[in-house]
Amino acid sequence: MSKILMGDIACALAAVDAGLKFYAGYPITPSSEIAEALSELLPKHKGIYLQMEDEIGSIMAAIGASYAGYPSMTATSGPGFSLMQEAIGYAAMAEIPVTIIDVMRAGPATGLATQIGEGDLMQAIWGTHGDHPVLVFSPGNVREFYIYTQKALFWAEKLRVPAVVLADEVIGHMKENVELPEPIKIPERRIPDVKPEQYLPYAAVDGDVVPLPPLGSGYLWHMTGSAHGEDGFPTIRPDRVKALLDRLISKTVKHHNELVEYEAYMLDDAEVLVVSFASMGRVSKGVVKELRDRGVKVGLLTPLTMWPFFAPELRAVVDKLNPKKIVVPEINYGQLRILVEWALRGTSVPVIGVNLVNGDLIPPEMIEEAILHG
Amino acid sequence: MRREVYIVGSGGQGVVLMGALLAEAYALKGWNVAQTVIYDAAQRGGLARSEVVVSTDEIYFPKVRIADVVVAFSPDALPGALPKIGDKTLVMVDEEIKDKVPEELKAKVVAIPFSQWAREELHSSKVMNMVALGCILKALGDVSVDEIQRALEERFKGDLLKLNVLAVRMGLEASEF
Repeated sequence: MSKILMGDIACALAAVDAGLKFYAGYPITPSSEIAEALSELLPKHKGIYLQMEDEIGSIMAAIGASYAGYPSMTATSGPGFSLMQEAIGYAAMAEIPVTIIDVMRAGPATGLATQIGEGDLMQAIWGTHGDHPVLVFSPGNVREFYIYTQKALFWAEKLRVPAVVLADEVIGHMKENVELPEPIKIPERRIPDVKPEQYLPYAAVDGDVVPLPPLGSGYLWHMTGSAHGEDGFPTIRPDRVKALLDRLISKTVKHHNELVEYEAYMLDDAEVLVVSFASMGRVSKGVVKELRDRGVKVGLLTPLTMWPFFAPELRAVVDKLNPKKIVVPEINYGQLRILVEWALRGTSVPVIGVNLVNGDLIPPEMIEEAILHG
Repeated sequence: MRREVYIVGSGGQGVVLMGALLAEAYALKGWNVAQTVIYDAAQRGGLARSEVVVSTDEIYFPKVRIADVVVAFSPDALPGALPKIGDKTLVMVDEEIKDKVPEELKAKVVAIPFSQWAREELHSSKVMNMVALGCILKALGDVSVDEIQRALEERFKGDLLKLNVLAVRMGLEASEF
């Protein structure tokens, strides 16, 4: 028998099962249950739970703990996520692993504090200033919230980048039956194989950054959000700045195939393709199933990794199927649609948005209408 | 087979707990469940809605479309429930709000004295929600008080557990509709 679990609780369990050692946060609906659960669970698993004064403090504490050697995470919703943006850029530049859970509610601003929105997609990818690497995963049910929390924690450590999990209010607050898979453990921090005085924290080996030793292990280094050389100290030398930024940006590009995950559903002979994410991904799946039962040739692609975006994969599907149109249902005014259109630039397939932001899921009838008559 | 239950009331009336218990009871019987909530940003007061969808198949749309059963403790919540009410929906309201039911719903509504029974028979108005939960069990007929009891045991023990089970049993046995 499977057990019933709330999405936010599954996220907290995922973090503990993966080996999370530090959480700092400031409660905000609809993510508060993550903080609540971790405040109980983490101390029992040799971890630290820290309630901070706000979201800026929360992410900075998480980055600081990570610098000290503790895999770390924070959780929030839109308003708090906005406050965290500057620090996310800092983590990207200083290459300190950190995972941010954003349980999306309807915005902008305070918006609808307790109700669903999916409008943080662009912010998750491009929210902080400057070009920067970031990973964005988005679960569509409670089980996936568990899995992608762990994948975010794993890849944040692996690539020394900030990783974001974009859930939404329905996934966060929904209770459903779930069988949890085997946990994905956070990789251990490795001691570099050079002596401390030879250690260059921002040198690259085969294009990837070198291991990050925990503080206290004898390796000390300078950490800054300013452009820096391999030794971590600020530099304005154009060749060094370029090398740093090129390498940062290449992180997600280089690991594209390992990072990108998506679900393909009933694509065979599909004449209409639906692309949808988070809660609307599962709702769209139901619509596609129902229409298939009625003989309508429609298929679905649900990206689980939102960044790096599955542009080449989507392009390949569209080239093969040559659909009459693509329908993109999302609880915002077209953020995923822009990415889809960008991925398909140069093709003539029309991309139709199904957009509704009123605090609720988009009704299946609206998606069906767009598929059949849009 | 899919069942949809929509429970509305004020924050603090136990609407969310009802939905959770109902979902857990169905899961114990091997059904797939999805329980969601909508509430105002307040601990007490404001509207609270709990939606329970259970199915023997996979659940894609996790919210109520047309409810099999609607339970309302607060008249303010009923207009918002209108889109969820179809021809076959059973709408149960607490008898104390009967006169405040919107005109267009009056013909469909069954008034049951949830709060009166809880207060007079069980000496606790708090368990009104459990009385109503008993009525939902009766209306749907898929799960018994045993499953609810197992779900309750996860949360309560001793006298509080007994009281809650008693209240569910009262709703289940007393309701005639």
